[in-house]
Amino acid sequence: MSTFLPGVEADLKPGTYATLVEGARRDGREYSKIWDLFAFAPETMHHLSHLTQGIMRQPTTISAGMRELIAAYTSYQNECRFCTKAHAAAASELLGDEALVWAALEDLESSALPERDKALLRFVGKVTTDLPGVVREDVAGVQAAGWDDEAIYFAISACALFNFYNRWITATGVPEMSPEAHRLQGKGLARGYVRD
Amino acid sequence: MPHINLPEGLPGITSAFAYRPETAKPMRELAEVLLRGPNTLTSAERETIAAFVSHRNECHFCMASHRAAAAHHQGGDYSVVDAVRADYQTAPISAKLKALLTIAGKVQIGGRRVTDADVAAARAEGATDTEIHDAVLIAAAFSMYNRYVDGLATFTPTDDAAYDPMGRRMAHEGYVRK
Repeated sequence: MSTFLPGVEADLKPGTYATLVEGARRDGREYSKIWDLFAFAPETMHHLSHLTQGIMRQPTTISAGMRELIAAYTSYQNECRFCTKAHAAAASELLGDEALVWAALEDLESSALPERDKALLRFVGKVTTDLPGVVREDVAGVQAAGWDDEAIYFAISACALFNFYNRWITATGVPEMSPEAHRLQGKGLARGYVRD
Repeated sequence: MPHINLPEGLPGITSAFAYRPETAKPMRELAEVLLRGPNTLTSAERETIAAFVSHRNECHFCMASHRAAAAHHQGGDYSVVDAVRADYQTAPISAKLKALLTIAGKVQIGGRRVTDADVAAARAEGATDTEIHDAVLIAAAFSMYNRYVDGLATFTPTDDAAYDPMGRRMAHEGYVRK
Protein backbone atom coordinates (compact mmCIF):
# COMPACT_ATOMS: atom_id res chain seq x y z
CA MET A 1 0.00 0.00 0.00
CA SER A 2 1.32 3.41 -0.87
CA THR A 3 0.68 6.73 0.80
CA PHE A 4 -1.63 9.35 -0.70
CA LEU A 5 1.33 11.33 -1.94
CA PRO A 6 3.47 9.54 -4.55
CA GLY A 7 5.23 12.86 -5.22
CA VAL A 8 6.58 12.65 -1.67
CA GLU A 9 7.72 9.02 -1.94
CA ALA A 10 9.51 9.76 -5.21
CA ASP A 11 11.42 12.75 -3.85
CA LEU A 12 13.88 11.42 -1.28
CA LYS A 13 16.65 13.87 -0.39
CA PRO A 14 20.14 12.39 0.20
CA GLY A 15 20.78 11.48 3.84
CA THR A 16 20.41 8.83 6.51
CA TYR A 17 16.77 8.03 5.84
CA ALA A 18 17.09 8.00 2.04
CA THR A 19 19.90 5.45 2.45
CA LEU A 20 17.70 3.31 4.73
CA VAL A 21 14.76 3.47 2.30
CA GLU A 22 16.89 2.70 -0.76
CA GLY A 23 18.54 -0.24 0.97
CA ALA A 24 15.20 -1.72 2.04
CA ARG A 25 13.66 -1.22 -1.40
CA ARG A 26 16.66 -2.81 -3.11
CA ASP A 27 16.55 -5.87 -0.85
CA GLY A 28 12.76 -6.11 -0.98
CA ARG A 29 12.63 -5.85 2.82
CA GLU A 30 9.56 -4.62 4.72
CA TYR A 31 10.36 -1.16 6.08
CA SER A 32 8.72 1.65 7.93
CA LYS A 33 7.11 4.01 5.38
CA ILE A 34 7.55 6.83 7.86
CA TRP A 35 11.16 6.83 6.60
CA ASP A 36 9.83 8.12 3.26
CA LEU A 37 8.41 11.17 5.07
CA PHE A 38 11.64 11.65 7.02
CA ALA A 39 13.73 11.41 3.84
CA PHE A 40 11.43 13.82 2.01
CA ALA A 41 11.82 16.55 4.65
CA PRO A 42 15.31 16.09 6.18
CA GLU A 43 15.58 19.56 7.72
CA THR A 44 12.21 19.20 9.45
CA MET A 45 13.25 15.72 10.52
CA HIS A 46 16.52 16.93 12.00
CA HIS A 47 14.66 19.25 14.39
CA LEU A 48 11.91 16.71 15.03
CA SER A 49 14.30 13.94 15.98
CA HIS A 50 16.02 16.21 18.51
CA LEU A 51 12.64 17.37 19.85
CA THR A 52 11.47 13.76 20.14
CA GLN A 53 14.67 12.64 21.84
CA GLY A 54 14.40 15.55 24.32
CA ILE A 55 10.76 14.98 25.18
CA MET A 56 10.91 11.18 25.28
CA ARG A 57 14.35 10.49 26.73
CA GLN A 58 15.64 13.49 28.72
CA PRO A 59 16.22 12.33 32.31
CA THR A 60 13.29 13.50 34.46
CA THR A 61 10.79 12.32 37.07
CA ILE A 62 8.78 10.25 34.58
CA SER A 63 10.35 7.13 33.10
CA ALA A 64 11.06 6.70 29.39
CA GLY A 65 8.82 3.62 29.47
CA MET A 66 5.89 5.61 30.87
CA ARG A 67 6.47 8.31 28.22
CA GLU A 68 6.34 5.61 25.52
CA LEU A 69 3.07 4.36 27.05
CA ILE A 70 1.69 7.92 26.80
CA ALA A 71 2.79 7.99 23.13
CA ALA A 72 1.04 4.67 22.48
CA TYR A 73 -2.10 5.70 24.40
CA THR A 74 -2.35 9.02 22.52
CA SER A 75 -1.84 7.20 19.21
CA TYR A 76 -4.50 4.62 20.11
CA GLN A 77 -6.99 7.40 20.83
CA ASN A 78 -6.15 9.11 17.54
CA GLU A 79 -6.56 5.78 15.72
CA CYS A 80 -3.04 5.87 14.32
CA ARG A 81 -2.30 2.16 14.03
CA PHE A 82 1.27 2.64 12.88
CA CYS A 83 2.21 4.80 15.89
CA THR A 84 0.20 2.71 18.34
CA LYS A 85 2.06 -0.45 17.35
CA ALA A 86 5.44 1.29 17.16
CA HIS A 87 5.21 2.88 20.60
CA ALA A 88 3.40 -0.03 22.27
CA ALA A 89 6.42 -2.08 21.18
CA ALA A 90 8.83 0.52 22.57
CA ALA A 91 6.84 0.74 25.85
CA SER A 92 6.80 -3.07 26.11
CA GLU A 93 10.56 -3.18 25.59
CA LEU A 94 11.20 -0.54 28.27
CA LEU A 95 8.53 -1.62 30.80
CA GLY A 96 9.06 -5.35 30.18
CA ASP A 97 5.35 -6.24 30.06
CA GLU A 98 3.69 -6.33 26.64
CA ALA A 99 0.39 -7.75 27.95
CA LEU A 100 0.02 -4.90 30.46
CA VAL A 101 0.77 -2.28 27.79
CA TRP A 102 -1.94 -3.60 25.46
CA ALA A 103 -4.42 -4.05 28.33
CA ALA A 104 -3.92 -0.37 29.27
CA LEU A 105 -4.43 0.76 25.67
CA GLU A 106 -7.54 -1.30 25.03
CA ASP A 107 -9.28 -0.79 28.38
CA LEU A 108 -7.41 1.43 30.78
CA GLU A 109 -9.81 1.16 33.74
CA SER A 110 -9.90 -2.65 33.88
CA SER A 111 -6.15 -3.00 33.32
CA ALA A 112 -3.73 -3.89 36.11
CA LEU A 113 -1.82 -0.61 35.64
CA PRO A 114 -1.22 1.18 38.99
CA GLU A 115 -3.81 3.90 39.79
CA ARG A 116 -1.07 6.55 39.70
CA ASP A 117 -0.31 5.72 36.04
CA LYS A 118 -3.99 5.48 35.15
CA ALA A 119 -4.54 9.01 36.47
CA LEU A 120 -1.81 10.34 34.18
CA LEU A 121 -3.16 8.50 31.12
CA ARG A 122 -6.72 9.74 31.81
CA PHE A 123 -5.33 13.28 31.90
CA VAL A 124 -3.37 13.06 28.64
CA GLY A 125 -6.44 11.41 27.12
CA LYS A 126 -8.37 14.58 27.86
CA VAL A 127 -5.60 16.78 26.42
CA THR A 128 -5.90 14.70 23.21
CA THR A 129 -9.67 14.55 22.84
CA ASP A 130 -10.96 17.63 24.70
CA LEU A 131 -8.22 20.27 24.87
CA PRO A 132 -10.57 23.24 25.49
CA GLY A 133 -12.15 21.29 28.37
CA VAL A 134 -8.89 20.84 30.30
CA VAL A 135 -9.18 22.63 33.65
CA ARG A 136 -7.06 23.19 36.73
CA GLU A 137 -8.87 20.38 38.58
CA ASP A 138 -7.70 17.86 35.99
CA VAL A 139 -4.10 18.74 36.74
CA ALA A 140 -4.78 18.79 40.49
CA GLY A 141 -6.01 15.20 40.16
CA VAL A 142 -2.74 14.15 38.55
CA GLN A 143 -0.75 15.97 41.24
CA ALA A 144 -2.83 14.24 43.93
CA ALA A 145 -1.94 10.90 42.32
CA GLY A 146 1.72 11.71 43.06
CA TRP A 147 3.14 13.29 39.90
CA ASP A 148 5.26 16.43 40.20
CA ASP A 149 5.28 19.45 37.86
CA GLU A 150 8.18 18.17 35.81
CA ALA A 151 6.45 14.86 35.14
CA ILE A 152 3.27 16.71 34.12
CA TYR A 153 5.29 18.95 31.80
CA PHE A 154 6.84 15.93 30.07
CA ALA A 155 3.52 14.05 29.95
CA ILE A 156 1.80 16.98 28.21
CA SER A 157 4.77 17.43 25.88
CA ALA A 158 4.75 13.73 24.89
CA CYS A 159 0.99 13.81 24.36
CA ALA A 160 1.26 16.99 22.24
CA LEU A 161 4.12 15.50 20.20
CA PHE A 162 2.11 12.40 19.32
CA ASN A 163 -0.90 14.48 18.39
CA PHE A 164 1.50 15.80 15.76
CA TYR A 165 2.95 12.48 14.58
CA ASN A 166 -0.45 10.74 14.51
CA ARG A 167 -1.91 13.38 12.19
CA TRP A 168 1.12 13.58 9.94
CA ILE A 169 1.23 9.81 9.54
CA THR A 170 -2.47 9.06 9.11
CA ALA A 171 -3.15 12.00 6.76
CA THR A 172 -0.31 10.94 4.45
CA GLY A 173 -1.40 7.29 4.61
CA VAL A 174 1.61 5.58 6.21
CA PRO A 175 0.49 1.93 6.68
CA GLU A 176 1.11 -0.26 9.71
CA MET A 177 3.67 -3.06 9.41
CA SER A 178 3.71 -6.74 10.37
CA PRO A 179 3.86 -7.54 14.11
CA GLU A 180 7.45 -8.76 13.71
CA ALA A 181 8.55 -5.56 11.99
CA HIS A 182 6.92 -3.44 14.69
CA ARG A 183 8.54 -5.49 17.46
CA LEU A 184 11.94 -5.03 15.85
CA GLN A 185 11.30 -1.29 15.40
CA GLY A 186 10.24 -1.04 19.07
CA LYS A 187 13.66 -2.36 20.14
CA GLY A 188 15.27 0.34 18.01
CA LEU A 189 13.05 3.10 19.40
CA ALA A 190 13.86 1.96 22.94
CA ARG A 191 17.45 2.96 22.18
CA GLY A 192 16.53 6.49 21.05
CA TYR A 193 15.42 8.76 18.24
CA VAL A 194 18.46 10.54 16.85
CA ARG A 195 20.12 8.84 13.87
CA ASP A 196 22.11 11.74 12.42
CA MET B 1 -2.83 30.76 36.14
CA PRO B 2 -0.64 28.04 34.63
CA HIS B 3 -1.35 24.49 35.70
CA ILE B 4 2.24 23.96 36.77
CA ASN B 5 4.82 26.31 38.20
CA LEU B 6 6.08 28.02 35.00
CA PRO B 7 8.31 31.13 34.99
CA GLU B 8 6.21 34.26 35.60
CA GLY B 9 5.73 37.30 33.37
CA LEU B 10 6.14 35.50 30.04
CA PRO B 11 3.22 35.08 27.64
CA GLY B 12 2.09 31.79 26.14
CA ILE B 13 4.60 29.36 24.74
CA THR B 14 7.59 31.47 25.87
CA SER B 15 7.01 30.52 29.51
CA ALA B 16 6.96 26.82 28.61
CA PHE B 17 10.11 27.35 26.55
CA ALA B 18 11.81 29.00 29.52
CA TYR B 19 10.82 26.04 31.73
CA ARG B 20 12.74 23.59 29.51
CA PRO B 21 15.18 25.33 27.13
CA GLU B 22 16.35 21.95 25.75
CA THR B 23 12.86 21.35 24.34
CA ALA B 24 12.45 24.98 23.26
CA LYS B 25 15.34 24.97 20.80
CA PRO B 26 14.04 22.27 18.40
CA MET B 27 10.46 23.58 18.79
CA ARG B 28 11.55 27.04 17.67
CA GLU B 29 13.69 25.64 14.85
CA LEU B 30 10.78 23.51 13.66
CA ALA B 31 8.49 26.57 13.54
CA GLU B 32 11.16 28.45 11.58
CA VAL B 33 11.39 25.74 8.90
CA LEU B 34 7.64 25.21 8.68
CA LEU B 35 6.59 28.86 8.54
CA ARG B 36 9.57 30.79 7.17
CA GLY B 37 11.74 28.22 5.34
CA PRO B 38 11.96 28.08 1.52
CA ASN B 39 8.59 26.91 0.20
CA THR B 40 6.26 27.47 -2.75
CA LEU B 41 3.53 28.34 -0.23
CA THR B 42 4.10 31.90 0.99
CA SER B 43 4.77 32.59 4.66
CA ALA B 44 1.46 34.49 4.76
CA GLU B 45 -0.34 31.36 3.53
CA ARG B 46 1.49 29.12 6.00
CA GLU B 47 0.84 31.46 8.96
CA THR B 48 -2.83 31.56 7.88
CA ILE B 49 -2.98 27.75 8.09
CA ALA B 50 -1.36 27.94 11.56
CA ALA B 51 -3.86 30.57 12.78
CA PHE B 52 -6.79 28.63 11.27
CA VAL B 53 -5.88 25.35 13.01
CA SER B 54 -5.22 27.15 16.32
CA HIS B 55 -8.63 28.83 16.02
CA ARG B 56 -10.30 25.42 15.53
CA ASN B 57 -8.41 24.11 18.58
CA GLU B 58 -9.57 27.15 20.57
CA CYS B 59 -5.96 27.97 21.47
CA HIS B 60 -6.20 31.74 21.82
CA PHE B 61 -2.50 32.44 22.29
CA CYS B 62 -1.44 30.55 19.13
CA MET B 63 -4.39 31.87 17.11
CA ALA B 64 -3.79 35.51 18.03
CA SER B 65 -0.02 35.42 17.60
CA HIS B 66 -0.06 33.58 14.23
CA ARG B 67 -2.98 35.76 13.07
CA ALA B 68 -0.72 38.76 13.72
CA ALA B 69 2.23 37.06 11.98
CA ALA B 70 0.04 36.35 8.91
CA ALA B 71 -1.01 40.02 8.88
CA HIS B 72 2.58 41.22 9.14
CA HIS B 73 3.55 39.10 6.13
CA GLN B 74 0.90 41.20 4.32
CA GLY B 75 2.01 44.67 5.36
CA GLY B 76 0.13 44.60 8.66
CA ASP B 77 -3.24 44.00 6.99
CA TYR B 78 -5.44 41.73 9.12
CA SER B 79 -8.38 41.61 6.70
CA VAL B 80 -7.45 38.42 4.81
CA VAL B 81 -6.58 36.29 7.83
CA ASP B 82 -9.71 37.54 9.62
CA ALA B 83 -11.86 36.67 6.61
CA VAL B 84 -10.37 33.15 6.69
CA ARG B 85 -11.15 32.85 10.39
CA ALA B 86 -14.77 33.93 9.78
CA ASP B 87 -15.35 31.68 6.73
CA TYR B 88 -12.45 30.55 4.57
CA GLN B 89 -14.73 29.51 1.70
CA THR B 90 -15.75 33.15 1.08
CA ALA B 91 -12.38 34.72 2.00
CA PRO B 92 -10.33 36.55 -0.68
CA ILE B 93 -7.74 33.76 -1.04
CA SER B 94 -6.84 31.37 -3.87
CA ALA B 95 -8.89 28.26 -4.59
CA LYS B 96 -5.70 26.30 -3.92
CA LEU B 97 -5.37 27.69 -0.39
CA LYS B 98 -9.07 26.98 0.25
CA ALA B 99 -8.52 23.34 -0.74
CA LEU B 100 -5.45 23.16 1.52
CA LEU B 101 -7.44 24.68 4.41
CA THR B 102 -10.08 21.99 3.93
CA ILE B 103 -7.34 19.38 4.37
CA ALA B 104 -5.84 21.27 7.34
CA GLY B 105 -9.29 21.45 8.98
CA LYS B 106 -9.66 17.69 8.70
CA VAL B 107 -6.14 17.10 10.04
CA GLN B 108 -7.07 19.26 13.05
CA ILE B 109 -9.88 16.82 13.90
CA GLY B 110 -7.91 13.70 12.95
CA GLY B 111 -5.54 12.68 10.18
CA ARG B 112 -7.72 9.74 9.14
CA ARG B 113 -10.44 12.15 8.01
CA VAL B 114 -8.36 13.24 5.01
CA THR B 115 -9.58 11.36 1.93
CA ASP B 116 -8.28 10.67 -1.57
CA ALA B 117 -11.01 13.05 -2.76
CA ASP B 118 -9.65 15.89 -0.59
CA VAL B 119 -6.17 15.33 -1.99
CA ALA B 120 -7.54 15.14 -5.57
CA ALA B 121 -9.47 18.39 -5.04
CA ALA B 122 -6.30 20.18 -3.90
CA ARG B 123 -4.39 18.81 -6.91
CA ALA B 124 -7.19 20.01 -9.21
CA GLU B 125 -6.64 23.55 -7.88
CA GLY B 126 -2.94 23.30 -8.70
CA ALA B 127 -1.47 22.15 -5.37
CA THR B 128 1.64 19.96 -5.69
CA ASP B 129 2.15 16.88 -3.52
CA THR B 130 4.78 18.86 -1.64
CA GLU B 131 2.31 21.64 -0.88
CA ILE B 132 -0.35 19.15 0.23
CA HIS B 133 2.23 17.46 2.44
CA ASP B 134 3.34 20.79 3.91
CA ALA B 135 -0.25 21.85 4.67
CA VAL B 136 -0.70 18.54 6.51
CA LEU B 137 2.60 19.02 8.32
CA ILE B 138 1.72 22.54 9.51
CA ALA B 139 -1.79 21.53 10.62
CA ALA B 140 -0.36 18.54 12.49
CA ALA B 141 2.37 20.66 14.09
CA PHE B 142 -0.17 23.17 15.39
CA SER B 143 -2.20 20.31 16.82
CA MET B 144 0.95 19.81 18.87
CA TYR B 145 1.83 23.43 19.71
CA ASN B 146 -1.79 24.14 20.73
CA ARG B 147 -1.78 21.24 23.21
CA TYR B 148 1.63 22.22 24.56
CA VAL B 149 0.40 25.78 25.20
CA ASP B 150 -3.11 25.07 26.50
CA GLY B 151 -2.39 21.73 28.19
CA LEU B 152 -0.01 23.66 30.43
CA ALA B 153 -2.44 26.64 30.61
CA THR B 154 0.28 29.19 29.88
CA PHE B 155 -0.48 32.87 30.49
CA THR B 156 -2.68 34.13 27.63
CA PRO B 157 -2.99 37.91 27.13
CA THR B 158 -6.58 38.80 26.18
CA ASP B 159 -5.87 42.18 24.58
CA ASP B 160 -5.37 41.90 20.79
CA ALA B 161 -2.87 44.78 20.93
CA ALA B 162 -0.45 42.56 22.89
CA TYR B 163 -0.11 40.28 19.88
CA ASP B 164 0.62 42.84 17.18
CA PRO B 165 4.31 43.45 18.03
CA MET B 166 4.68 39.71 18.69
CA GLY B 167 3.38 38.91 15.19
CA ARG B 168 5.61 41.55 13.66
CA ARG B 169 8.69 39.93 15.23
CA MET B 170 7.56 36.41 14.27
CA ALA B 171 7.07 37.53 10.65
CA HIS B 172 10.20 39.61 10.22
CA GLU B 173 12.73 38.28 12.71
CA GLY B 174 11.52 34.71 12.91
CA TYR B 175 11.36 32.05 15.57
CA VAL B 176 15.03 31.41 16.29
CA ARG B 177 16.51 34.30 18.22
CA LYS B 178 19.82 34.72 19.95
